[in-house]
Amino acid sequence: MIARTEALAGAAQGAEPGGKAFSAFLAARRGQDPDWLAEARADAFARFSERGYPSRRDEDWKYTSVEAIAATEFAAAPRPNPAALSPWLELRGAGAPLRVVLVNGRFERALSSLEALPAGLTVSSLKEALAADAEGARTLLLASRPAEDAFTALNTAFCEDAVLIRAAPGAAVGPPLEVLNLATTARAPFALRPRVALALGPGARLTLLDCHAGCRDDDVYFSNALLDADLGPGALLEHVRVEEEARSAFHVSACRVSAAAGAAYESTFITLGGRLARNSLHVVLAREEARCDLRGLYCVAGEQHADHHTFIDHAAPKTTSRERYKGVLDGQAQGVFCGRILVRPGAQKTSAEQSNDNLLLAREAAAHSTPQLEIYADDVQCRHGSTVGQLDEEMLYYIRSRGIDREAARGLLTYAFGNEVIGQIGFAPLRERLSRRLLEATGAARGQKE
Amino acid sequence: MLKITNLQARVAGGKQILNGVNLEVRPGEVHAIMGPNGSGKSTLAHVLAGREGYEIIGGTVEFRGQDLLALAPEERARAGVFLAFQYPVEIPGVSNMFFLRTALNEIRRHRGEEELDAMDFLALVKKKMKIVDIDEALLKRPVNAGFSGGEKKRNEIFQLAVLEPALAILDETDSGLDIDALKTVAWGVNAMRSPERAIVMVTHYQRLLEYIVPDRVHVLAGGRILRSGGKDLALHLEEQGYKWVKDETAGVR
Repeated sequence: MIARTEALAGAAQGAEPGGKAFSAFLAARRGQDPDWLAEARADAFARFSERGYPSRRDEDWKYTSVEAIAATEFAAAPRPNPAALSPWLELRGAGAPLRVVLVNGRFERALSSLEALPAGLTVSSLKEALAADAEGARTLLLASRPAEDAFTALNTAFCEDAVLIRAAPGAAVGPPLEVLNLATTARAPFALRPRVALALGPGARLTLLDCHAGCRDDDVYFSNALLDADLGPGALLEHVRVEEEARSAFHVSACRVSAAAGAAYESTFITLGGRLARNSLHVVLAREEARCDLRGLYCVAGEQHADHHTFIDHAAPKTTSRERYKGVLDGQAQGVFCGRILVRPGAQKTSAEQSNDNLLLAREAAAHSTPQLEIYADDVQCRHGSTVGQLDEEMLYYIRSRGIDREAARGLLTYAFGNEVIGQIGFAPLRERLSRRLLEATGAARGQKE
Repeated sequence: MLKITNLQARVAGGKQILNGVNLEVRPGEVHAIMGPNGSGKSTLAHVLAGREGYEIIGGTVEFRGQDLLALAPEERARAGVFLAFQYPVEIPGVSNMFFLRTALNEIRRHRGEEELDAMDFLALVKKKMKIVDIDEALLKRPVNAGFSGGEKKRNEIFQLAVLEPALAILDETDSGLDIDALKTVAWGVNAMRSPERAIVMVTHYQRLLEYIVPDRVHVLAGGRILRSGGKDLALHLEEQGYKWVKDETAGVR
């Protein structure tokens, strides 16, 4: 609310990035951006200007208002001294030995650990990628994507950097690669636009730990994140996405994934932070036998709002999707899940399963769950289910009968509900840190003396 | 240790199930409560453990000098009551080890004892595992989730062994077990027999009593104890079935 007042004072027509701001940005990029990138930015900015931010009249934004974002004037992201950030990196990171660090959307090589990159894996900043192979960078960054919206356009228009990741054909990268997006503390609200573009060659395998975090809970910033991933035939991407933004921050992200024949995309989205978090995940199963397995947990309280919109496009026969999202909502928190599944004509032998289960811990908490199945093929198996409920009384009784009081039993069950998703994360240091965090948040840590 | 006097209970707002149960159990004793389906056996077990949804209409339950019925389920557990469930509840997402350590430390805290750290707890678990021959892998898995019927029952007895209650109530612990699993479970229960501990077994069949020999056998029917005797009473039931019970109950009415 504070941010909003300032913003209204600053700009007569709200605080959407205006033409002036964009011109200034382009000017500042001169010498860094090749022409095609400057043009892409201009196109994207024009698309954004034409329609502006979405409103709740848009079907996709029915339950999530971005008015507060639209009304805030976000300054350019500050450039803090990287050396001062080390403690935050340890607190907020995934603990992977292989790590890219982005501070306020900018690739910080000095803070990253990329000395021991496994064979077949390349990781570069936007500047590095443009210098090494501008055409390759162009293809990776600007391949035509579905699901363009105001926020993806804003990212393209204003992103200052990007992480470009490539795995060569057949490269089975053992250790996970962490991309830690850190937002720092600043005096005024600012925007950061982290961007990752990833391509896995045929048969390549990679685990990506994609962390988004802030420093202090009263930091006001807007993370406008974008990740695009192309999976070649038979490739496997395991994508763990952890959102632990500051409690006063806005986080609107999009992930767009395209899977070729026999490719697999497995993701675990953990959403814990932010005053407003909106994650769009768009997966195209483009060729036969591509599959995806999407898991998610949003665990929010107080006045937080967490929105997950997923769209699985079964564009070819014999494609499989599994989707399981869970929400824990306390206080006056709002959870939104919208899971759209499209089975295109001809996508026979498609199998799709979706579930969304929400746990309401307080009377004023709310969950909106909307499955959307659009099926245009006849030989398909699709199932979906969603629940919104309280804790199971039978389970509470069983736990209490073992000496654990009602409150602790509730904490334990809440922990159990959420930890089922966290437990799917293969990389132990991250899994254990998130488990611990959930344990403390639910009060289930009692009785677990170290 | 446990003194039940004229206990009457009904499902909240519904049917009366216990119609004046009287039972006294002393430390060191093993009692078997037998009876046909619908006689109120399981209700009695859950009323003692404190399940919500029952209304106590009359009578008293005294446990080690305390009014048991006035306590919440967790308070009863801390006071030393343990119920081995007929249908142990699955709790996906919480490992057995985690659950049990939380429970044990909760109980220890209320007894004024030091909480066990991870190392000490593990040592205790290793010792208790032998009692019910439970697989270590099972302990790392979520509580009862995906366990077979036999594994669930064994897990209940394992919890009993770790929590060491003063009074153990076993609700149909033999149901759904094959003979080998039954022997293992019975062996575990026998290992828990001690002069300070009482055990109350609720069962439909006499079979369990071949392996856990009771001091006293009670026949529960129509919500009250119809007959009490020594272990031979169970044999009598085995031969005669429950038909005579039904006849006698009918006679009473």
